[in-house]
Amino acid sequence: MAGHVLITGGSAGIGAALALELARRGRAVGLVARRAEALAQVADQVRALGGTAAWAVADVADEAAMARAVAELEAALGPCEVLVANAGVLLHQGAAELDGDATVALLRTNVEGPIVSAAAVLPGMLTRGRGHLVLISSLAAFRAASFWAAYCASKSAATAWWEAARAELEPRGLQVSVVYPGYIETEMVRNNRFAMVGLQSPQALAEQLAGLLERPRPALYSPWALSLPARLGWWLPAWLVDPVLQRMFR
Amino acid sequence: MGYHAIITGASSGIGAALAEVLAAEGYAVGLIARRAERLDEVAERVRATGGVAATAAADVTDPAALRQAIAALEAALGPCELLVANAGVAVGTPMDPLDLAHNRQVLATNLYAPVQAFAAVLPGMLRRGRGVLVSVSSLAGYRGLPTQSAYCASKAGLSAFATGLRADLRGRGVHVLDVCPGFVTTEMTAKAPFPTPGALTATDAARRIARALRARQDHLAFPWFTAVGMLLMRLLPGGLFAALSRRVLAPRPRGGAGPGGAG
Repeated sequence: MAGHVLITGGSAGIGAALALELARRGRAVGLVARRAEALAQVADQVRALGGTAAWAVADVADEAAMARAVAELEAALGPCEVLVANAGVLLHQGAAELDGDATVALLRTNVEGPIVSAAAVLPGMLTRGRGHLVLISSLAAFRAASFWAAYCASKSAATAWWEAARAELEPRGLQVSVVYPGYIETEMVRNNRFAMVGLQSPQALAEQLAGLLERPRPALYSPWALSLPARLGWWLPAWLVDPVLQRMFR
Repeated sequence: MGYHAIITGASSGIGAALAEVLAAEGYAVGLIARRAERLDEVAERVRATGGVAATAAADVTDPAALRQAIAALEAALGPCELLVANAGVAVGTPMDPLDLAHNRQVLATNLYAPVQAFAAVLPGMLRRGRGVLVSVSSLAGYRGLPTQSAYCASKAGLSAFATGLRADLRGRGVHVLDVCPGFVTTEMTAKAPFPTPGALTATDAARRIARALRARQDHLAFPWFTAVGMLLMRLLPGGLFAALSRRVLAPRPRGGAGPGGAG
């Protein structure tokens, strides 16, 4: 297939694992992240598997940098057929330490980042009448847990934006998917001191994502069983859920 | 002087109505918005009925100006006991053409500003072991609606943030109320390019919020038929929801018959 899969946050974790999985399946990958060295390493690993990769350094919330990155990657690999908006950060922050500026910085990366990424690839996709936008959201999008308020808010917000995008872009021939992973063993969750139910390797999720790219559908919950309590949590009142969350995330 | 309630976006709409309703309940109201003259008018109306009000003009999307305004109001009326993050904008943000500036403006006003306002008053509330945070979110946050991507995102994020804070603040004296109104007749909905069925008056909305505060509710969604509609929307699978929401939100002349084109 001509063109490439653009992965933001492609230097580590889920993004890097997906790049390698796609290389095994013969798809060219364009990697975007902030750290050049880490990006180059992942690109080397892709090539070692016989795959095709190019990379560009950009902060996903920086409009000009993202436009430049997409232009470079499209020049090297052909049109962006799939955007995997995966770049994201996590902030462990209790209410007592609530830092407004740090929280807004997280929201910029996790909410504006996917929007800016989509803006960079959408004109081309709309012109071609074809494309697939994939958001790596989180099961945390459903119910905000104490200590994770900022992260949960960011995933909730990005998910709502992506749902709105689907309604508008499907009639134009584009596919729009939201992925809701639970705990994935990456740098992001390394400092979690609580029991991570249903913890998966980045590789396990990458295989499911590669499947989603081959057969696009609106939502991927992973693990599906864990998504049931997470999704149910949105509907339940605070007095019922909050004591449980408080105990779980101490 | 009663408890000090700070309201952002207090120059019109739900914020202005809430200023009058809370003042009538004995709160001293601190009012924040960009338009100083409009703020003074609201303050005058409060004082005319025997209430206590102070104003501080600020753009809530400027964190330093917002913190300064809150500090000025606390100096005038005492520590903030109740903060209502109400300031909000509704700007359509369609996918084609996608306007990043509009997207950022909506997120900054409806999501980042409430976060900064909560962060500014929360340390004091926790120190005193008492306080109430109110997020004026929207039923639009229940699901992302076509052409309203940034608005729905900002409100979904705000409700989730309030919900997360509440889970952490449980048992520490600070209460969080998340308010999700449907359509309320304000300057915001006057510009909506789609029908606004069952719109309430701003005063009605303000009274419902005041009642929920007295009852120490965690969550308030109204009117019930719009809330039920959005809850049903939330239950739909992605593809079906996309198809249905396109029809419901298709732009059409206000009061006109038949659905218009989606372009």
